[in-house]
Amino acid sequence: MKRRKKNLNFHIGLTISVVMLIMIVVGLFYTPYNPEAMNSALKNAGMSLAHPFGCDNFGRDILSRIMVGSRTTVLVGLATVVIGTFFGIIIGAFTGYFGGMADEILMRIMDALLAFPSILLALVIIGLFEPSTWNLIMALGIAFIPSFARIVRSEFLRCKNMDYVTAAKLNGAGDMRVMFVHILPNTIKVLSSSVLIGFNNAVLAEAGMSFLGIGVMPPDPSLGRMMSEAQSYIFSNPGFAIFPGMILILIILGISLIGSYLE
Amino acid sequence: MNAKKIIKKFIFMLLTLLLVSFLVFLAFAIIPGDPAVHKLGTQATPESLEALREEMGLNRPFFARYASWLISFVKGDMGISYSYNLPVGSMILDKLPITLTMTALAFMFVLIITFPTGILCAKHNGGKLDRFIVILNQIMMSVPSFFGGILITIIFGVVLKLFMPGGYISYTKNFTKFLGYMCFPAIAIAIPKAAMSIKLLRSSILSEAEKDYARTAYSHGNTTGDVLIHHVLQNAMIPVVTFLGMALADIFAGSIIIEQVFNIPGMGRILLSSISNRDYPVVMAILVLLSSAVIIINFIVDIVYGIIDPRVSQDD
Repeated sequence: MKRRKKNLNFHIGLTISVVMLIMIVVGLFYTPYNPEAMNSALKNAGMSLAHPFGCDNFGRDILSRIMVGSRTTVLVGLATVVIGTFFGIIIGAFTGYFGGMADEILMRIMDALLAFPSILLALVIIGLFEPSTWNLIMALGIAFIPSFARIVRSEFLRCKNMDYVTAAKLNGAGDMRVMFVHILPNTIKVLSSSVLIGFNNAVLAEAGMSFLGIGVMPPDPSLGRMMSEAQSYIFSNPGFAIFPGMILILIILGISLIGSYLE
Repeated sequence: MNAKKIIKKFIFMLLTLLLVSFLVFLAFAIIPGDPAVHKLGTQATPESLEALREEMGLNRPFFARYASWLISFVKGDMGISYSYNLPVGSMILDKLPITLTMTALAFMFVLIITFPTGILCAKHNGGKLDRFIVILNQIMMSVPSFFGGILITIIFGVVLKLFMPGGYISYTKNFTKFLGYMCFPAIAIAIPKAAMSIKLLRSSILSEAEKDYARTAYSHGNTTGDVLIHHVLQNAMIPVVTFLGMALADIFAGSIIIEQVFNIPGMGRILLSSISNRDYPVVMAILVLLSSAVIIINFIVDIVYGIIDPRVSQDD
C-alpha cells in the first residue's frame, strides 16, 4: 500500500517535471510571441485565445515570458546546486575523511555560515557586489555550500571505518582513490535527495531575490521578477502575478514529489 | 540535561556568535570601496578624506577596529548610518517591533495549525480526510511565502475587501489595526512552514504509534485519541521541535521578503535600501542581529530538546 502511494507520488512528480521541462525546452526555440515585444494596445489585457495568460503592463505576452522566465529560474537553480554540491563534496569529503584540526575549524565556520538563513547570506554577497544574474548564482552557490558540506561530511564519517574501505586500503588504494572512487558513490543515495531539496530551495531563493529586485536583472524575465513587476497591477491584472506563481509552484511541487520518493 | 552541559553549550553559542560577528566584519572590511570616499563623494580632497578616515578609525589595524566595533556593538552603539546620519541602533529599534510582531504571529499560526491538524491526520490515518490533507499539504509546501502573500492580497484584499492592500498602519498609531493587518503577512509565511511541520508531525506520530508502549496503552482500553495525545505525542514531538526551531529562524529572516508584498516598513525595508545605498553600518548591524537571533534560537531549541528527550543528555 505504502509502496504504491509512493510510486504514485513519483509518477505525478515526474509528469509535472517533464511537462515543465518540455515547456522550458520548447521556449528555447519557440515562444508564441516575442517575449520582449511590447504592444500598447494590449496593456494588462486579460486572458484570451490569442494570449491564454493575458498580457503584462507593457502588453507583452505573459505565456511567452513565463516560458523564457522559468528557464532563467531553473538554470539559476541548477547552477546553484552544482556549485553547492561540488564544493560541498570537496569540503565534506576532506573534513569527514581526515578529521583533525582542519575539520574542527572548517566545520565551525560552516556552522557559523549555517546560522545565516541562505537568502540572507545571498543578500549580503549581492550587497557586497552588484546585482546581476552571475552574482546571484555565485551568491546562492556559496550560500548552499555549508549544508551540502555537512551532509557529505556525516556520510564520510559513517563510511570511513566500514569494511569495504579497509579492504580498499589494504589493496593499496590511496586516500584520494578511497575517498572519491570508493566512498563517494555510496553517498549518492543521501546526496541525491538533498540535491533535489537544494534545487527547490535554490529556485525559491532565486524567485525571492528577483522578487526583491536584486536577482535577475531586466530585461531578462524570471518568474520572481515577473511577480514583483505584477505587484502594482494586482487590482487590474491579477493573472500577471498568478500565472508565474502557479508555474513556480508546479516546478517546486514536481521536484519535491520526486524527492519524497527518493527519501 | 545537567548544568554542566548547558554551560558547555552556552559557551559554544558565544563562540559561534563571535565567529559570525568576525565573518561579517571581515566581509565588509575586505570589499572594495572606501567608506570615506562614499561619505564625502568623489570630489573630496585627499586631505579631507584622510581626516575623515582618521576620524572614522579606518587607519587603525584590522583587529583593533574589529575589537572596538564589537565592544561598542555589544554596548548597543552600532555606529552611524552613512546615508541617514542617524545612530543605527535607534533606526533598528524603531523597526524591530514590526518584524518581531510578524515573526511571533506567524509562529503562533504555525503552532495553531500544526498540532490539531497533525493529530487529526494521524488519528484518521488513511481515511478520506487524511488523504485530502496530505495532498493539500504537499501543494502548500510548494507555495513560496511571497506568492502566498500575493494570493492572500488578491483574495482577501482585492476580492473580499477584508483589508486594504498596501494600507499598512503603524503600531504607534493604532495597535489593534496594526495587529489585524499583520495577520495577513503572518499567514502567508505560516502556510508553507505549517505544511512541512504537519507532514513531519504526522509521520512522526504514526511511527511512534506502532511502538510497544502505544500498544500497551491501547490494551489498557484507551481510545485512539487518548493514546495519541497522552502517550505518543510527547515522543513524536521531538523531531518537530527541532524543525520548529529552524522554522522560527527562517520565519524571522523570511519576513524580509514578505514585507515587500504587504508594503511594511520593517527591518527588511531598511536592509534592502541600505544594501542598495551601500550603507554598510546598517547592513552589518542587521546581519549580526538576525544571525545572532538564529544562533540564540538554535541554542534554546537545543536546551528544550534535552528537556523533552532525556535520551539526548545521556549520550556523548
